[in-house]
Amino acid sequence: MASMKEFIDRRELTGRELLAALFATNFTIILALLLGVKIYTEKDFTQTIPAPWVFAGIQWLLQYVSPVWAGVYLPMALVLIIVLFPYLSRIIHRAAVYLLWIVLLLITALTAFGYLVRI
Amino acid sequence: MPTLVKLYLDSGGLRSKLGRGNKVEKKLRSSLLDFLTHIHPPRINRRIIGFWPTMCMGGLSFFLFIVLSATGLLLMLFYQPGDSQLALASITVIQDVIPYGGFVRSLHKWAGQLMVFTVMLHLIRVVLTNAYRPPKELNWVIGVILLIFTVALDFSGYLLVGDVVAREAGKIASALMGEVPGIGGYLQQIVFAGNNPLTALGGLRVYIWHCLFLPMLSFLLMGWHFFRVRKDGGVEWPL
Amino acid sequence: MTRRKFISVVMAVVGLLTLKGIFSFTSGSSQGETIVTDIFPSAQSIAIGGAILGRREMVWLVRDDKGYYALDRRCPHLGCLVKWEEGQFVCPCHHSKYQVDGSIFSGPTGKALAPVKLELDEQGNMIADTSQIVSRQWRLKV
Repeated sequence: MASMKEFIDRRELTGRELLAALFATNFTIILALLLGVKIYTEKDFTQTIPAPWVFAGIQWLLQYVSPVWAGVYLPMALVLIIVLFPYLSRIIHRAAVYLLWIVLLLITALTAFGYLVRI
Repeated sequence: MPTLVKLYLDSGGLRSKLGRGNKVEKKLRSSLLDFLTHIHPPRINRRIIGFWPTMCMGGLSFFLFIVLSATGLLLMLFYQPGDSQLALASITVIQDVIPYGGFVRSLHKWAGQLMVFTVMLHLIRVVLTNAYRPPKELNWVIGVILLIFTVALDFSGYLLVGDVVAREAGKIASALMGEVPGIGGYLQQIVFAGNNPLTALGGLRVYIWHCLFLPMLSFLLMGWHFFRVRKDGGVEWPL
Repeated sequence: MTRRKFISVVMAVVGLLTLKGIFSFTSGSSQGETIVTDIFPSAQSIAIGGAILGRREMVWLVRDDKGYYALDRRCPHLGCLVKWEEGQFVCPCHHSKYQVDGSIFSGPTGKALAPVKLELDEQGNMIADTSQIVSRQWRLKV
């Protein structure tokens, strides 16, 4: 039986990928139909004009920290840690993984917090 | 699902339909499907191709990139780059006048947000499955550069709409870019063609980044990224 | 020096010059600052202590008991356009607040709103020119 084989050949792999693409297309189309998109005017916002959600953390931070630190140095430092992670891992092993997790959690927490408080 | 897979396997390419019998051809021919098949590794462990542990996030990201390119091309047929009032007017036309325009725009936007998500989940998966260990470090760096490009594509697309959130976001980005010590002015010139992204030349520059430079660079890097995956031993079990 | 080394050096120099050329090209600028002026056709009708926006929505015109003055609407923090909320100017991006004369009240901003030159033209409209800064006490008396 084909399903007993430990390995599958590239033709079946491609077939599976095409099916996955089909499912993913449908999912994205349904998402697009459900959520929709609009053009924003000044009247839509009373409190804050929101930055894109990826930068919600930076927008919140810019209220309290100087722009150079919040907008330039901090993102650059975080990105640098993420980029150099494998090389750090060669030097300090497990500690690098913990450092990366801290950085990723920090980014997630900042973004989520900035997104939720700006309504 | 297995029936559909079996149908594809047994099709054997176009030539087998032209009267050479229903045998499954072992050799790949040269149709478009055969080209896509050739890019894949010859064999792969069955346990790796399920949803866990890879979540297929890498493949999904690439697929979303294809969707974004296709919907983006369609939007380019009607979008007017440059002056933000003209751009906003063209987006309004796309949404309200062009048939299915709102749907194409919605698909483009949400595929973009999803892609940022899938790329981040892919990064987390790579960390959890130790797929950054030697000799795969360079591939990690390429991947992070692709992450930065994805976020840059997301943001530049956001700016192109030209509505009030886009205009304010453009000003903030331009101001922050100017704050970079030393090269701030140059950065503003390269990214926004000046310190005001709301001029016609600024809008055109963001358009060129979003529709030409960044997608082409991303596609090139993605090709290299996939090539390296296979060269470094492929997606293997155990991870 | 071998031919190979010579050509390598020449190609390296040419490559660096090309990179510099590309850099100069992409960072070239073809325009200076755009001067923003704004016009207030119905300026006479605001009450004392009130503020209205110009036609281009880039400048606030404020009237107090001493006369009229104009404030550049761009927040000196990072450039968003400030709103008017009951006697205060508020920036919708990072919530910098400015008093009615434009000086800082609270928030992350480092500079106050810029008071800009206000003039009366022949038809009786007020024109504001954001390229000319005036002192905070200056008023246009009409």
